[in-house]
Amino acid sequence: MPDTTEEIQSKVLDLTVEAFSTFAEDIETMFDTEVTAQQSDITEGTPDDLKDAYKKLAAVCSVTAEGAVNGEFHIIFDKDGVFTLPGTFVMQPEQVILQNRKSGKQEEAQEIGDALAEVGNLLVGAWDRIFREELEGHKHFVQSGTFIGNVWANTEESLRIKPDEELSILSFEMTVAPLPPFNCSVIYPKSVFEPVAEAPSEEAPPEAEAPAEETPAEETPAEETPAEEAPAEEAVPQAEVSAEEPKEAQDKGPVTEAISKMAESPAYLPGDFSDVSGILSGLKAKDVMRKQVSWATAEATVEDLVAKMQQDDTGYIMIGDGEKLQGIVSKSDVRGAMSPYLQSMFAKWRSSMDVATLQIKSKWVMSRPVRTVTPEASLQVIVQTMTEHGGRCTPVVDTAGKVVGTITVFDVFYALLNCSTASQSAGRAVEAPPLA
Amino acid sequence: MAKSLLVVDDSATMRKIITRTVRKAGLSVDDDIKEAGDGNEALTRLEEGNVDIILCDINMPGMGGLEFVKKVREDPTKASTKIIMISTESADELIDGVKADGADGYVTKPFTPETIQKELTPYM
Ligand SMILES: [Mg+2]
Repeated sequence: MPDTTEEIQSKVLDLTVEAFSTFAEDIETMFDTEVTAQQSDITEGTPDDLKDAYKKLAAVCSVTAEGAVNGEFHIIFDKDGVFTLPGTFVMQPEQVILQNRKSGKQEEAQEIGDALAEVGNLLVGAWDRIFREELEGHKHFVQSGTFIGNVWANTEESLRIKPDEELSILSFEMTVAPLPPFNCSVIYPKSVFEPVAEAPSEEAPPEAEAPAEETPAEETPAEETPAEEAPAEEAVPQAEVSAEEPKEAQDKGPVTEAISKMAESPAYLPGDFSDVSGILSGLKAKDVMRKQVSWATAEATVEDLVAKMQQDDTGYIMIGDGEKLQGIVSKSDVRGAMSPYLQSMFAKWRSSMDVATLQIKSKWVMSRPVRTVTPEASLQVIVQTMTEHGGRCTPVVDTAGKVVGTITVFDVFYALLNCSTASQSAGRAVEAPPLA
Repeated sequence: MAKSLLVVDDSATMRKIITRTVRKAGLSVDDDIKEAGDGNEALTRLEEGNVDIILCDINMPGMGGLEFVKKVREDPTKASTKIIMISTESADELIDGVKADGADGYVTKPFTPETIQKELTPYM
């Protein structure tokens, strides 16, 4: 594997020439016409150096690379190219393409924008094949943007490059017979050649957050309704959930701290909020809970849970038989169990292993035992329970052990907001925070 | 008997190219080739009427091709509907994965009328 910036750069520039001719061959194959791509120049410079070759109207296809080449690079087509390639894709008559090359404006270019995106798609496909075969450490290319218009009005928007960015520019003259040639250039910001530390294969995708401090989350022992312990070996997939937990921890911080202080001492509240203490002790679980409870069995899969959450518009699902609780699964438990590659933006790199994470069973991702409260518990007790044990959804369980409702932190907020505004008769509209 | 086709791709340009290529391949298909812009729309088309063969893109906003294949395969009444994926994606893991999920074939772009003919003939 090439491991210095110079080695990567030189290898990539070589492969670019090969990838461009593969792209030309691909167009030939699909559109049964003669296409050539000849390297015409190789330079180093800044975006300004492209101004002579690319006047106002141009198109830019942006590609994000991961692996040995790392970061975003761009392919710019001059006005002739803007009309020639997409025109060929939609089988415009030669005369129309020639007319557009001569006098076409932004408007005509936008009309074939969909075809231009498809040009970009074919281009990325061709490049990906070449780089996967020939560049060790290459992971993937993904088409990350298409721009058509006046490139120079705002290069940070069109080229997505800073004005003083150091670039490697590889230019080509392309011909789609029988039309005259046009120009295009591949623009690599030099930063994409910098070697990246070899990541472990199980590496999370770019946006997964780095693990932060440990959080007790919803796993602390229950006082009121100890649920059955699952066999130890079934707890193993829990590890997969941990990727999402730091987020929970961050979310939790400010929320529970404020509630916590309120719960301990309502006098903590600034301003004229003395009535809040009354609300906290006066309101009971049965007054603020949601009676609609979503259930799934311990055998239900993550895929089932996702569907259920969408269908019931809820962030929490009780695991059990519809009465007795075995555990609770939150949206972030589900997200943590699912491969991040199942998100549509990573669809390109998805494998059957990622899809298999949808088959993980609830019993492997649920939190247990679950801390619960009785219908008669005061809001103050609920807030304390949530604060001490970190759960953001507390099931309400009657004396027979049956779940009769759930309370999330948002329900608590809503109750506080509603009551305090009503008692102040200030007439302000209160908007409910988004549910879970 | 002529087969009924559904072409699923987010790009109208690509749907046209695929439709044109299928016609060039000289296969016995219905004159009316149905189209959909993503997986959700494709599911609606499937509900509307008989489809024998689906030609389906992978990367689409909304419901992509991988999810669509699974959705179709969940429905036992669509078990005989053939699904051929068409994509620029050429990674083996991806191709194997979508076939394991129930796709019957996979065509990598660029394709020619011959490629399409070869892939569809077994289902004609
Ligand atoms: Mg697509």
